[in-house]
Amino acid sequence: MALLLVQAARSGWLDKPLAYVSSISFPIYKLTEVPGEIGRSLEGLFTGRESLREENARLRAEALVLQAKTQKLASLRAENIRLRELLNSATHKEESVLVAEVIGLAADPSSHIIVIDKGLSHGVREGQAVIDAEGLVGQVVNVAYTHSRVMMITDTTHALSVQVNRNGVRAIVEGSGLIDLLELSHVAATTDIRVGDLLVSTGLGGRFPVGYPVARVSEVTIDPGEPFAIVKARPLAQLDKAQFVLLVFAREVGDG
Amino acid sequence: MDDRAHSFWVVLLTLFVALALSVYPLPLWARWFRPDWVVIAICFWVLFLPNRVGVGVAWLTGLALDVLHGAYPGQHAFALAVVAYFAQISHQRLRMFGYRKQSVFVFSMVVIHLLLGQWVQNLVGVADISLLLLAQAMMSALVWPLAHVVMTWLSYRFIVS
Repeated sequence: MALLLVQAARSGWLDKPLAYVSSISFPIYKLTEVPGEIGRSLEGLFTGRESLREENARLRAEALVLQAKTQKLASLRAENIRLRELLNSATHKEESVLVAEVIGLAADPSSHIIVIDKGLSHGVREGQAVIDAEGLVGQVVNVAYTHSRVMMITDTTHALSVQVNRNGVRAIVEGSGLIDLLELSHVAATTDIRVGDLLVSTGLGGRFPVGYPVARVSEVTIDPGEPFAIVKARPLAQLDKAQFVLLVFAREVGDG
Repeated sequence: MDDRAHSFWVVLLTLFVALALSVYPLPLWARWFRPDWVVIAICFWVLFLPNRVGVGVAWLTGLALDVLHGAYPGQHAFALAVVAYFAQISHQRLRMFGYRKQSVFVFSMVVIHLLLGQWVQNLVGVADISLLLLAQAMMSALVWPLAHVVMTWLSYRFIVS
């Protein structure tokens, strides 16, 4: 009888009601955040004036650098569109982001899933890409009305298509079940891939937008006895400490 | 009548706390050692109030756990119902046992809960069996005496019967 429910859920007709029913878990997740938040506010209470001043100065400097970097963005974007026109590629994707707070972690230690505080009511949908300041975090796998679950790229059941930023070699990156390790599968031993290479998303498969940094290659082992090279990479996103993440909304922008 | 009302709220409260603790955010390594609070709470109440708390309550709690964890609905419900059944058929003996023997029982119940969960995940095709589930069972057995003391105190404080 109990397993019938599992079967029913698999067939998908429970999805809609479940999205609403599981909204009741939102306050519980919020509740489990309270002790941590009290700790943080106590910390804030005892932070000295001096260290706040220092942090302020550091953030100012950081903001200045970022502003300087974005100055050229407008002209670069215009140039990019012109070049695209020259190449006759009709559309490009305009992306906007929505900030979401991480409110929970999966209870099952073998799955790398986080719970974020944005859901159906904010326009989140299944399969949407999630990033943080440094790189790709994962994708939305389950949406409830008030919150949703995000599978991180290090989950053992997760894989995505990436390419080496240096030369465009494509590969599949698979989660390893360890928070700081990704594995590249079926990389031929003769492939030009080196330690330190940046891996970016290719957008193949339609799940992830193109060009987001995913990981940096940390180890390449070529064993003559094995058919493929063993390539390991370290994810760029701060998967285990992220407090806030960004949901990527991609939409087609007319012909450019 | 009053007592019944009390016991209803105390049972509900402890189950709720157990559910909340089961999703309390912990660093990844620590999650392998999180005691299975829900199984502990279910075992306690089946032993303490065998005529009130049983398979049905366990099943409903499991359903809440499924919703909370985003698991397949029915996965934990099924496993917890089995756990409650085992606890119920042997509650008379278990109540005579000391903490040590009860801890061994809790250990095996947590293993059953986790294994059944893995089995259901196997059925739907996502499985990652790991012997580290024994660590969770071990921790549950270790905190059982503490949980037992706290919940017994609660039960006497609020005259649950």
